[in-house]
Amino acid sequence: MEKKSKPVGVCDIVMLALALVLFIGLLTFLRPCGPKDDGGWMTCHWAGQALRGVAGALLLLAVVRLFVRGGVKTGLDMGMAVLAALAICVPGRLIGLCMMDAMRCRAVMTPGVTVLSILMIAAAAADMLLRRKKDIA
Amino acid sequence: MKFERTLSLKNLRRRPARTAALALLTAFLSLSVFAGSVIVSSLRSGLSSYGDRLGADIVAVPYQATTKKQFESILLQGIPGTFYMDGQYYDKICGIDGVELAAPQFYLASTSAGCCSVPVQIIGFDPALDFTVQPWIRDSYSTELGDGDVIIGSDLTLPADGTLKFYDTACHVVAQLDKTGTGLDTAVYCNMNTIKTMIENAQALGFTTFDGVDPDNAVSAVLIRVAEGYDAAAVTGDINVHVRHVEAEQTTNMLSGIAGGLANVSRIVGGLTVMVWLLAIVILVIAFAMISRERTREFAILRVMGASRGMVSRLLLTESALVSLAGAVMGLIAGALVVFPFSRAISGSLGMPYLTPGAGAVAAMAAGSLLLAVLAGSLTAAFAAGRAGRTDAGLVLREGT
Repeated sequence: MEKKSKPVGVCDIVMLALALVLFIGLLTFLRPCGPKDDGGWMTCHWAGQALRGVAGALLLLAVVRLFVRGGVKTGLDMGMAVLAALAICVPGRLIGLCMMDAMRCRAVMTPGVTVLSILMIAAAAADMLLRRKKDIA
Repeated sequence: MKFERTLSLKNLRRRPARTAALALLTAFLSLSVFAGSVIVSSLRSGLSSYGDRLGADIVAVPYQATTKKQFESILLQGIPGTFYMDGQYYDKICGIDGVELAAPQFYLASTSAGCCSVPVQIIGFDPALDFTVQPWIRDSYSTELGDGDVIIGSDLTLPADGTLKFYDTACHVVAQLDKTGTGLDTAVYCNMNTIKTMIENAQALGFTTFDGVDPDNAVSAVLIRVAEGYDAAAVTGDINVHVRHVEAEQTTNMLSGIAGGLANVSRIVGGLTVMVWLLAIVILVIAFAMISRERTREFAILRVMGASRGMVSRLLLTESALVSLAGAVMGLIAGALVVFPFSRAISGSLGMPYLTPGAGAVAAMAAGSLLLAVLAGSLTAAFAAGRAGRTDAGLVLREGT
C-alpha cells in the first residue's frame, strides 16, 4: 500500500510562520521610514508598499500549501522561493531607499526582509529536497 | 569507531524531536557566546575608532551645547546639532597659553527634504586651520576641497549623479570616508564658503533657522591641540575660567564616559551569556541523564550482543557530540543572521560607537564559540555515558526494566 505523507508537516508550518511574520512585520516592526516634515514620502515608502504586496502573495501561497500535496506543493515551493528572492531585491535594488544607513528602512526593514526571505528560500529548498528523497524511496 | 558513529546517527534520526530539542539547547550556547562576543568586540572597535577620529585634545563648544549634550549626540548618534557662538570666542581661545592649534567648525542641519526623512549633519571646516578632519579626508581625497564640493560619511549612499542638494545648493560629492562606527559616518563635510552659500540660500528660501547667525563671524565648536609640555587638564581649566559662555572638555573625559558605558554593556552581555549557559547546561545534563535511564534496556542488549562498556559509553558520547555540533552550527548561523544584518539597528539602540570587526576576527570568534558549545554539549553527556557503560546487562534484562 502506498504510504501517504502527512497533510501538514514541519516545513509547512515553518513557511506559514515565516510568511506571516514577514507580512505582519511589514505593517509593524519592519515598516519603512515615516513621512517627512513636509508630509511627503521618501522612496522607501514605496519599497515598503511593494514588499507588503509580495508578502501578501507569499502568505497566500503558504496557506494554499497546507491543502495540496505532491507536485502542486513542489510548484508552490518554487513559486515561494522566487517571490522571496524578489522580496530581497525590492529594497535598495529595484526600488530606492533613503540615503542614510541609520534610517529605519536600511537599519531594520531591509535586514529583516532579507533574513526572513533567506529563511523562506532555505525552508522551500529543504521541503523540495525532502519530498524528492521520499519520492525516490 | 565507525560502528559507534553509524549507530549514533541512526539513533538520532530515529528520534527527530528529541534530537532537535537537544540541538536547539546547544544552539543557544553557541548563539549567546558568538553574538555576545561580536557585539562587545564591535563596541570596543567603535570606541577605539571614536578616539582616533576626534583627533583633538580639547573640544570647546557653546555652554548650552554641553548642557543638552548636543555635541556628544552628533558624535555618537549622528543626531544633527545646530549651536553657535560668536567668532570672538575663537580668538580668545587661541590666546590661551598652551593652545597650539585651534580649528573652528560650523555645524548645519540639512532639511529633511534633502536625502532622508531626517536631517543630516553638515560640518563646515576651514582647510587652512583644520587638523582633525583633513587627515581622514586625505585617505579618500588628496586634493583641497573646493567651493561646492562635499565629502560624505560612509553611512550615506553615494548619489548616482554625484550631486547632493542642501537648501537648494547643489553640492558635488568628491569622496566618501571610510567607516568609523560613530555618528560622523552620517555627516557631510565641506569648506566654510560652501556653508555660507547654503545659509544664504536657506535665508532666500525663507528658512528662519539661521536668523541672527553670521556665518562670517560664528563657529559651532573649536577643536584644540595642546602644545608640548602643557597639561590638557590645565589648559581646559584655563579656557573654562577665561572664556565665558564656552564649555571646554578634554576628549579623554568624553572617551572615559563611553568606556564606562561599554563596561556596563559588556557586563550585561556577559551576565546574560552566563545565565543562558547555566540554564542550558543544567537542562542538557538532566536530558542526557533521562535519555540514558530511558535507554537502559537498549544498552543492556548491546552489552549482551558483545559491546564493551567503553563502546556503550562512546555511543552516547558520539551522539551528544554530533547533536552538539549540529546545534552549535545552527546557533552560529542564527547569531550571524542577527548581529551582522542588524548591526546598524544594534548600534542605534545602544547609542555608542559600533564598528564590526574584520572577517579574520569574526572567523576566530565563530570557531571559538563552536568549540566551546560542542565541548560543553559533549561534556554534559559524560556522566550519563559513564552510567550507561556501567549497565549490568543481566540484571536489567532479568528485571525487565
